Amino acid sequence: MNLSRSELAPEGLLHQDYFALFGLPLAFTLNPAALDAGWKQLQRAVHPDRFARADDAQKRLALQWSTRINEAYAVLKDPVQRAAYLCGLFGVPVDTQSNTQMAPEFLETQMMLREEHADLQDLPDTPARLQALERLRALCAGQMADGLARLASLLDDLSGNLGEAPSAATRALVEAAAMQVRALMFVKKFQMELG
Amino acid sequence: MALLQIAEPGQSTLPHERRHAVGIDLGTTHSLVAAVRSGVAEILPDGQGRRLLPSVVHYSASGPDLLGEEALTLAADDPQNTIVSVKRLMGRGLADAQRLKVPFALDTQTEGMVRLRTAAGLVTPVEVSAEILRRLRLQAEETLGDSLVGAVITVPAYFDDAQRQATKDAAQLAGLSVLRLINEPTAAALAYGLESGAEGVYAVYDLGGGTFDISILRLTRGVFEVVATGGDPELGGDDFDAALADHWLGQWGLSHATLPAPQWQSLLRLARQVKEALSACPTDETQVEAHWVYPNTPTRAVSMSRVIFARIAQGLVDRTLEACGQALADAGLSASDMQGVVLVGGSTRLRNVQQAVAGFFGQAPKANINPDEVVAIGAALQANLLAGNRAEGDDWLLLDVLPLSLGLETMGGLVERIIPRNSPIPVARAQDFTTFQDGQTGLSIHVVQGEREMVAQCRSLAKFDLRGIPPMAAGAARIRVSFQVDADGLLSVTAQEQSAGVTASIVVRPSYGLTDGEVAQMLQDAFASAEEDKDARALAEAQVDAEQMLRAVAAALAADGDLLEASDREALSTAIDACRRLCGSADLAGIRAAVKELNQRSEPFAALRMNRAISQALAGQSVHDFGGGR
Repeated sequence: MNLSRSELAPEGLLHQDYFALFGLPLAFTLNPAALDAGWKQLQRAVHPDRFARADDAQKRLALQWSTRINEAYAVLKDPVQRAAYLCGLFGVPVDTQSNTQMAPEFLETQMMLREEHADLQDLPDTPARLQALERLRALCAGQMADGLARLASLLDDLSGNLGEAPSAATRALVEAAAMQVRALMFVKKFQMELG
Repeated sequence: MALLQIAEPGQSTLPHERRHAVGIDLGTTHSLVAAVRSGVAEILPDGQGRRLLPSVVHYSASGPDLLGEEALTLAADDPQNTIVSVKRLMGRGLADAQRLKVPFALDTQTEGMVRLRTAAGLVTPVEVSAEILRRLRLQAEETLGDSLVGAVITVPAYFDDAQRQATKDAAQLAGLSVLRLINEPTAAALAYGLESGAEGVYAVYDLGGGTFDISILRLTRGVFEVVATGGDPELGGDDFDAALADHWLGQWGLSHATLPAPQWQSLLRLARQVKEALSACPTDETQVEAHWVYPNTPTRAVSMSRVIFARIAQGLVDRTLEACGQALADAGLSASDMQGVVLVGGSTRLRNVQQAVAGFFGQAPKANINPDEVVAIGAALQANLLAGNRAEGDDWLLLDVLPLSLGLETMGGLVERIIPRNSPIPVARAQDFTTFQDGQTGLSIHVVQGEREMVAQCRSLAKFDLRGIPPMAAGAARIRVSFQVDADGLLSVTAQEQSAGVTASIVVRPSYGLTDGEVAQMLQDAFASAEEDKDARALAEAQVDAEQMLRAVAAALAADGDLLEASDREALSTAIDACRRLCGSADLAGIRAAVKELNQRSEPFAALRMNRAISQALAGQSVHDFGGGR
């Protein structure tokens, strides 16, 4: 396949979003096999090993592109990061630094779970404690699964073009998704602490 | 424009144009060099047919005078000047060397990488390793009858940034151009995977003289993907020898702590001999008998069987299995998911190690390639590929990962993780910093590597001092610091003040490495001692650079010349002609300028080519059927 010069303008590809880069549809749910295959296919084209004896310009580009493709792969592979990235593309940055807005009932449950965990920390390693920890882990796994299912329902059928202001309906969906992403980041962090 | 000798980069070339590249396994106890000749990867022996070069260098007042077997014979009589197992000290500091109880005289004055006091003065582990690499380079050049375009050098997967950088510095000192550093288990997988054309997930268990590595790799359609890696950089066959020696000392009511170092070294050598003899015993109960003879001490009889040895070594073997479990957990896989298990490293000849690995993974491990040679063989295959000698259809890609997380020191000595371990490389992350005082123009960043939460428990890599931040109110400056890990697993750091767009200058203070200045000085010294004409060498290198550049651009034009507008092509041709006119001349400055000009001229073309490659990769991908669907 040969593309015309304008299609190959350097700035064109470099500013492509990660979904377009991997040739994937712009949606939360993706085919992991297609993602993996796309990653390997792209790395075959750009990895620095392909340019070990090339000139310096080519080497530098290979490093940049290979790095970018790995970055895109990491974001798309992780469902929470992928959802956050999608929200950003549709003009609603998740931005956990300045925006901590979350559903009050979710926060209440989280506080409760965290307190429970804190209490367990001080106890000796009895079967009862291990059981309680296991129950907490299962609860978190459930929250994660529910949250991801909700993200799929919110983000799989978005309409509109990137770069244009989204419609009110789309914006509402994405804002709801961003709130869900923040909640799941919270859950993920707690899951790490639980081990 | 006439273009002669057009070859696609990476495609096979005519025999006389073959570019020789070698794979080097720079090991703790011994090192090897291998190359692909007539399509087959093979070890290049020395003039006397020896395949393994003991990683030993002896120093006398005049400098490094003996290497390998010849140096090894002096280890007992002259331990302070006979440097063995120097790999353990690469990128390591004084405290590390003391903890490892090395038998050398350590310099207590210098900070950073440890320095050894020898009859030839202070030497760094990098210089010792360079001696070994130089010997291997000469050995290879003699066998191949030509100079080398470069080498792939293997390092333990678990090597941190300082250890990798030290290895690369040593290669530079030895006059080797490093095509790539690759991980030892990855090299071994390459040797096995290419042999059998296997697909699936494999575990590579690599127990060498001084390091232990476990890597989990997935092989699919010619892609070797490292999924997870782990290990212990300070656990190897040497520790098994020490455990055995300690066991005997205990029997005699003696202690390692009070034993003079030369005696301990002598006992270690006996322990290694007995350990190696165990592998040849007919049964697990068969006793190996030996005597420890040391001048002016009573001769002592020792005996050992595999059963007893397995008990003594149990703790060490268990440590390797724990690391295996962690790597599997990181990969999100279980032992039964492994298609096969590959053994690498001389210590995997031990029966108790083989049994433990078989038990852990629930299958008999593969060891049909000599475990001492498999890493060098894999490295040679990769070197051949990178040098552009591959035959058509003979193609693969290695996708490796960062072995240890990279982090920054934050308040209270805590680590903030910026790139987690097992991230595919190359990888980059950016982090924003700000100033905390009005008019502050500098900032210091401490980068560490490791998995623990406290800075003190991780390896310190380097401190980066940023200078030249424009003076502003506290908190107003936004300095974006970018961390880039390249395909060799090496870190570089750049910084830019965002609002003013000023690039802050960075002064790197490696914790256990050598500064660029130190490496330059060593190179200078090496030239002086080798009585090589520095200018002649610089000219030769510039000529080679120019020829390589010309070859690369010619190949690029042949493949994708249609991407260029006529005027751009014209400008590029002019630069090519200028470079070609000068490249055989003795005009060093002229050649350098022409290469620089050609580089600049070809930059936009390179970008166009890369974009086409990416577009084509995707176009190729869409025709595959991935199955499963949504």
